[in-house]
Amino acid sequence: MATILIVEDDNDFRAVMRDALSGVGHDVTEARDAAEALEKIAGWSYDLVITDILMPQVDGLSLIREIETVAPKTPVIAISGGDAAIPPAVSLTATKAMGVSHRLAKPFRLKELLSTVDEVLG
Amino acid sequence: MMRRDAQSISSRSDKVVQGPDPIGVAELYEQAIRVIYSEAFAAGLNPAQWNALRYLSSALPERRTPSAFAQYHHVTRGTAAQTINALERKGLVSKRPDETDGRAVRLELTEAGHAMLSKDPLNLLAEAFAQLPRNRLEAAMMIGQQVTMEVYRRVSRR
Repeated sequence: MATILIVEDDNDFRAVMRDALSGVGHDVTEARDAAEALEKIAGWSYDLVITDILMPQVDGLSLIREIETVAPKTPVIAISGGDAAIPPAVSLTATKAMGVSHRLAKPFRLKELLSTVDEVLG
Repeated sequence: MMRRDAQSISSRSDKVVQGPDPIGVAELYEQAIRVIYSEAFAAGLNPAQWNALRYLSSALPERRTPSAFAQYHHVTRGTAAQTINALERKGLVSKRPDETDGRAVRLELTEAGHAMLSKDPLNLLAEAFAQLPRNRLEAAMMIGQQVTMEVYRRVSRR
């Protein structure tokens, strides 16, 4: 099973993802924002990072750029429900432009999350 | 001749080239987008219909529904249905009942839909970007992210 870091500012949504991934045996760590995520990445090597894109302060795009620098081999799954101004089509296309191959628009079913995680981890 | 033109311009201003002009940059991008849109309409589809084709070619099977498409693009279900119905009439998209939810429909690109997508006018722009060296492509990516999101935020504040 894999070590997975979930970066998501919505506590409820983060907990649902954590439970689903822990439930199938993954070792899950949580971060509420990009700054906390970077602290955790500095101290541990993760098999996968799942990150929200539109977060307060530092957004997921900046976090992915940092991950490319400090942990370039770590795969990333981008998730986004957009916000009042920006649809998921825009926030997730922004990650596609960075080369993030696996992206999920919120809301998604846990089955979709688990199958995407399986695909990324091979 | 060139010299005289340059002199006449410089007489109106201290510098002939005054640095990047946001309006000029916006017009430049608009020119490229206009070509893409013109090619899009020439193929018989509007930009929203091209978006739907692209969406259906890459979305997870579970997300190939009218409501997921509407959520993804922040459009109403009515607008999404209109776009998808037009593609269905053109034979580019087919609908079938969802096996797990009898009330829902799943959308699939037809063979003609896949063939149409291979002529996506967006490829023109992608090919132009592909000509750029990596550092300029990265700069274009970051500018695209920042400018696109800023445009959406400004529209939502109106």
